[in-house]
Amino acid sequence: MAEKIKSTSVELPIGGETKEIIDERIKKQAPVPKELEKQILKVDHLKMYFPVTKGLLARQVAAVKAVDDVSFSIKRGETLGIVGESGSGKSTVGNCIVRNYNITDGQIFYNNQDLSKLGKGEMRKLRKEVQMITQDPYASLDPRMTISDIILEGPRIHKTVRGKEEERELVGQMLELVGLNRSFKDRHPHEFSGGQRQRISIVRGLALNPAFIVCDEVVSALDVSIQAQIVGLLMHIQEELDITYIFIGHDLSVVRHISHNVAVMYLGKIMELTSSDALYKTPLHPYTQALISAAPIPNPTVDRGRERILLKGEIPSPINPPQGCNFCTRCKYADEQCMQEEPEFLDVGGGHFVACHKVPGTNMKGGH
Amino acid sequence: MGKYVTKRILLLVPTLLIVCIIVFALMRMIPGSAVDMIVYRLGQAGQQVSAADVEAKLGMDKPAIWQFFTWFIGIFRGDFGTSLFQNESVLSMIGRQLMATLELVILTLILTNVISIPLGLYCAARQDSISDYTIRSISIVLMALPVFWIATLVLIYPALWWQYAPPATYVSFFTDPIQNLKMFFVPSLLGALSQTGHQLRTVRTVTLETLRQDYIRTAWSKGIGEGRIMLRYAFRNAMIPVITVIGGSIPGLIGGSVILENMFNIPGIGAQLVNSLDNRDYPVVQGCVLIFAIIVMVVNLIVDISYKWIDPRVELE
Amino acid sequence: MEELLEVRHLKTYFYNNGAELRAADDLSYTVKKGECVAIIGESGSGKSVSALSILRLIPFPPGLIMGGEILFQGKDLLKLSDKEIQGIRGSKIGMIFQEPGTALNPVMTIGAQIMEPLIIHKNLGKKEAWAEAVELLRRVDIPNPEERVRQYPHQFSGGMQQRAMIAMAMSCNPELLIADEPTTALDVTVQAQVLEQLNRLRAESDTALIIITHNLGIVARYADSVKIMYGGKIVESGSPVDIFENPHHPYTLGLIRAVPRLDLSKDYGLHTIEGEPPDMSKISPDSCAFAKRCTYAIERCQNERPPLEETRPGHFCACFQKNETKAEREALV
Repeated sequence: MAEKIKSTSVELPIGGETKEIIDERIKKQAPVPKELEKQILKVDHLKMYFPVTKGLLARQVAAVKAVDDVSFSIKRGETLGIVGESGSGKSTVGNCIVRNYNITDGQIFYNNQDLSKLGKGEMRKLRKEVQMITQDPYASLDPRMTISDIILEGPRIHKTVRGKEEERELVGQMLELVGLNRSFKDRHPHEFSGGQRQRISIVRGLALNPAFIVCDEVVSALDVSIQAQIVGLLMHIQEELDITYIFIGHDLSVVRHISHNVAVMYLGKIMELTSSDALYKTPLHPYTQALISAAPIPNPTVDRGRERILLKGEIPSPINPPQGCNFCTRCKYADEQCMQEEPEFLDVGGGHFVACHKVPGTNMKGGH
Repeated sequence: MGKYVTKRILLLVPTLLIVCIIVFALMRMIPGSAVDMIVYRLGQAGQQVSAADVEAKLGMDKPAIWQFFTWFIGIFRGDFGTSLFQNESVLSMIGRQLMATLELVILTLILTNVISIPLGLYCAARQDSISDYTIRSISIVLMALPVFWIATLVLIYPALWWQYAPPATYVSFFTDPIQNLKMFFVPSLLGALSQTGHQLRTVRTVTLETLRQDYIRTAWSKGIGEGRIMLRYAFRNAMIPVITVIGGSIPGLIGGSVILENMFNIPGIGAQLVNSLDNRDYPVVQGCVLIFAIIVMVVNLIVDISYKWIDPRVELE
Repeated sequence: MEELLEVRHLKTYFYNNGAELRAADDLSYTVKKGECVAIIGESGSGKSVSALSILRLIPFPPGLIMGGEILFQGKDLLKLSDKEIQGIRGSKIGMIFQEPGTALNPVMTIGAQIMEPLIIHKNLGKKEAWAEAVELLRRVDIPNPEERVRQYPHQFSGGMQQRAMIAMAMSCNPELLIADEPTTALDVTVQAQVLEQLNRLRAESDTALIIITHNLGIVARYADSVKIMYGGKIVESGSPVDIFENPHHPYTLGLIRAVPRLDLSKDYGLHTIEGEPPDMSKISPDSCAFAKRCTYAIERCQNERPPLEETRPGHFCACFQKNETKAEREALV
């Protein structure tokens, strides 16, 4: 018997049997030490620099400071949204957390374990728990594999399923969870649309029963109505399976909707980090304000009454960021101090972090 | 740019060294004692020498490494050695014959491109039309027929029917251009035909790919006519990969000139090389192969530099 | 006042492996002088095709304009000769495209590309055209235009490339500018800059603008008139207030409710439209293309194609059930 489970955003019917499996999964997830039980991820002064080399001998002449001293923490079961434009480093942060790169500096604590100190075996175990889903539904699925094989790839490697019977059950449940027909398991990726392929990507990430998923621009390439489906699905899965997300995107409206907290990145640094409601109600950083103003609201009466903030200039190169505040070249409030000194990333009250000399100041306007 | 060129020329030296080692080693590995062959041939030519004499002259009594280095160092002094059979320095022999081969190659290149590029562009512009199919079929036929066979037909039938044959004595271009061209025209044309088949299809494919790009649509949207679009948009972009193909075909042309040189009695390097191999005339063979290698490297350099000229996105380090 | 552009019953079909795709299926709309018309649709709605058809830029094969009229200043563009339509392109009607990085010729300087329409259509000499190109770059706020004009597209950033394209399209002061997803490939703040520029330029020269997009926000901000396309047809059309605050068509309603709102609290839930955008080759001409995904669909929707009818002055909707959507409509914020 199907029972409808209401979530804050969307209603999806879930079959009775699937709910049992969900409960089992929650039980199967890795245990967490009592203290700091809530904090599942902590990133401390993360730096990721990519060397730029020249010449036959590959001398390093410069570095692309993709991520430059980023710190944040996430509670279990919540979503941290990371929003930014090109060169902001948001995707790199995601890649660093799932250890696709060897980080240049800083520490990443997952469940209070320092990831950089883990050995190979422990890292492997961790990969079951921390998964990544990426943007391009067309490139990330191997066209020569069936859906079933794609979903089972991880479980087979980590040996979380044994035998054909278990495999079939897992694939069937996974497909149902994202609203796809069980019979799709023998088809190939090219037979599906972008939205369906993205669902398959999501399910591939879920197959290992992870506790933590990095979603890197997962809805950016999709149509509006399909975006809504996928966002709703992700939020629903989070509620049911208590999964923690990092949601990376460039569309502030979408990121804010799915996230509990939002970090705004610019040129490798976090400019502002706060709850998603506070971000819109009281944005403190000039860059955040510009981003908000640049995102048009789909209501003519509301939108045409808003203040327009237009930034001048272009985003500087991450190889050669400005000396002081990264944003000083485009900020209308920038002064001598901003050009010389890098602002600190400080808590200005209630967990609202900003990196700006002009906040809190009397001449800074919050809001819009 | 200057820095890049200097760097590339300097890089030629180690490459040259490796090529020389390979050439040297290969030559020495050819079966049949060279010395005996030389004694025999010289005897036939009327010169009586002993094996010891030959060995001394060749420096073959000395260790191989010594022989190699003397030769290698000599190159930089302009001394490629002396022919074992003719009392002439290798360099001057090659110099004489290089001219003829180069002329053949250059004329072949010009004709090939004059035919294949416009036709390739046309076929791409009129994709799947009857003319497109016809031209493509002809190019497949041209690729399938061996050039020496066509050359044989070309030599035999006109002689039979019209008592015509291209001139058989070589006259330098600078002495008498008309006569010179009369001799080179037919073999160049044949060489061109054998290359055109392949190159036309390449030009066509690359142009089709280029025509699918967004900027072609932008050009149409500005009201530019087809002719100008083909020339300024399609051609310039399509030529980037085509230049690579042309550059790659040159070594083949030089080596392949052997057949045509033989058939049309052109005193070029190809013919020379075959003769010298037969005679085991080491210095000449080494010299020829070395010149080939140098030409290939220089051609590569020119092609690389031309990329920058054609495609502004290219960064030469 | 005579309309600047009148599209009447446009039919543009694509043929693929024997299947007929009606990308534009009996499309009709008008554009007034100086007006900004936004055409919204998702993938497969046919919105790009409708714009490309105006300038007859539909590639054949596989596409073909099968019928209809496109009246520009009274003349039917579909009946013009090749030379005549070339005379219109780039001079009376300009167009800008989605990915400026690939839409510009990589081996020609920006200056040369901007000069082309000036030389071809306005018969300017090289020197004058060059000076004009520099001025045009200045107008679109590109710094150091004298230097920039000699550079190649890859030396420009994405936003600058798009502005250069705008300069190119506006060079001959066209009456109409068509922008096909002009900012989709750009960063958000750059998007805002470019759109403001575009809006300012066209207001200055009283150029009409057809903007094709899937971004509802852009439409709400800039459009004077909005057309919603689905499955090759216009399903609703009207002023921005009509569409956003009083939509009648179930698809429009669904679309508006599917977009997250930055200005509302997070409890304003995203409502999804079930199913996928239609497969163009499988749409029957005798039914409503949206019927399969529509929660209001009745039997009539499967058997008859709903005509575009005026519900209020200037507000048109193609739906048999348009009055049933009242409750949902009124629940909109």
